[in-house]
Amino acid sequence: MKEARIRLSESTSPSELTRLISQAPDVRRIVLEVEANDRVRAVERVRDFLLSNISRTIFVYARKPGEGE
Amino acid sequence: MIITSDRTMMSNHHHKEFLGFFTTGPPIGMPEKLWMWLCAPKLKVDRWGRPIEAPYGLRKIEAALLDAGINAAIIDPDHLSRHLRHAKVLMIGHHDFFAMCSPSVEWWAITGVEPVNSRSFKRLMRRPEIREAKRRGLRIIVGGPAAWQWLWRTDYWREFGVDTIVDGEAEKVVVDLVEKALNGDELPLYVYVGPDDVPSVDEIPVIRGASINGLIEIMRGCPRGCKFCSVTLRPLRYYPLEKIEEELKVNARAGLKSCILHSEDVLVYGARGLEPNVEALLKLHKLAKKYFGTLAWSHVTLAEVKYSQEKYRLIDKLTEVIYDEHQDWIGVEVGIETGSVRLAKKIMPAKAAPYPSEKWPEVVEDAFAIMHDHRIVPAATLILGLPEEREEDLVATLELLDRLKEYRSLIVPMFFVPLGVLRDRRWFLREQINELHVEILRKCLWHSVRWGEDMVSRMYFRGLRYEPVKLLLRLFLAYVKRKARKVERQLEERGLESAKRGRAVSVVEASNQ
Repeated sequence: MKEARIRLSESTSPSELTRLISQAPDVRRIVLEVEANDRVRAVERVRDFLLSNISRTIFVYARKPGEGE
Repeated sequence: MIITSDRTMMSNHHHKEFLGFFTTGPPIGMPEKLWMWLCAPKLKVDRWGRPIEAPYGLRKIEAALLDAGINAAIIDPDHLSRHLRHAKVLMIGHHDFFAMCSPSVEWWAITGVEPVNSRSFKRLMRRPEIREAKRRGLRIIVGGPAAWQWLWRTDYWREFGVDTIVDGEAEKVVVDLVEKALNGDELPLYVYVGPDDVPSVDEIPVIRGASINGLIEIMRGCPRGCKFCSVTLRPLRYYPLEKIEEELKVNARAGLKSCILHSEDVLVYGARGLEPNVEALLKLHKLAKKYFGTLAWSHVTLAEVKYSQEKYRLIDKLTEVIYDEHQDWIGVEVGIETGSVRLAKKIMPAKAAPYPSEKWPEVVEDAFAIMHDHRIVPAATLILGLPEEREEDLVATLELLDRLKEYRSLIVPMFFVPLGVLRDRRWFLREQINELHVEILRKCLWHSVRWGEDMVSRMYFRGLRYEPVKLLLRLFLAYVKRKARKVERQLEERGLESAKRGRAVSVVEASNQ
């Protein structure tokens, strides 16, 4: 199964995610690292994307801005 | 490693599954404690506080962890404190954490009072022993069919200190998550299990302890593909009879006297496409009756009721197996959703199959007639506020309701909740209710009160031990009738817009309080 790891920096718009993923239709599992100042804020940033996803497995991790790049 | 839920989930509802639906309602007409006693009495537990029966979904998670060698147990919410002192991980499952599913959502919108499922869950999460354990490093993982609600209620995600939300069939991901949590490794915030990661039938574990009211799955997924439903996003898998028998035995050993066969459509068990597998269904029902005096179906589809009866006399054959000295009727949930052919074609194009969508209202009425004749009592749902709904659709639903008047059933209108393929669509809110919606709500209420009274008196509660529950339900129905008449008078005198400005608030407003 094809996996992808994507990091969403604090300055990148979450809508960019949809564009990135539409370019890789064969990816079935996504590990999403989202930069935000607090953990739950990371999910809030990508909520619309998560709500629109029904077909792929997604793991969302929170990252502090600049952490572990 | 503790698995739990709040009291509205951790109850056998007096062994009357239908009473469980009262947990979706606000405590009106009686004190909340009495309401909770009516719909969610406490369970029997062993000396460690483990309930004899527990929600089936939690049993699956428990089995997956035990099979992987992890020391996990389901603990009754009243017995958490002694275990939380040593626990490293707390897992919590729920059907409706924040009363955002139907029908909770419309009871809240109509009455302006928060339903007891949401109240009870918040009370659980605010318990000092959980807060204290959290301060000591307890990791909290939450899941179940309502996991999506946390995406809308991130305020509670923060408040309750939840570490991870798991949305979807969790059997294949839960062991890894719990091992990470036990080892102190980083946990994802949110996991959505897509269709490629759901477990195969062989990977679904057999429950180790009894499930509430003997509910067991016979299959997962649904072939009909209705757009408002999340179950259809997952592949169809039938449990083999041997696996079903193992779970029946677990429940029978625990002393349960009845079982519920769970499927989105029991009548397609073992089917090739939508063609019923008569032999498999007869074997399944004979097997269940071997262990239990009474059985119930969780759901059937109306098209399958009509088709299987007309082509194979299947309903005759199944009720011959089911009905005996222990049982002479059966309850089941069904989905009408709309009386409109136009909307049926758009949002549930295969719901009427093998009949064309144009025949949907006829399919509904014929199936109701078949069920009435066979003493099968449906609790049916309608959806109000579907995307692209027009007045003509609501008129069609009203016409269909008129045709269903004489069939013994409960009909519950539900507000559209964005799930399944439609999960990014807009919620249906109280502000959008129009005169036709009110007329549908009114018709459904009086239909359900009429048949509800009939069932309370003659079918559902037999035996002296149910007299207190019966009495309370009769008083409640009398209260509902009184209130409904008052609201009808107000609507006549002041109109809908004035009534909408009354006490009730929208769910989104209310849930933000």
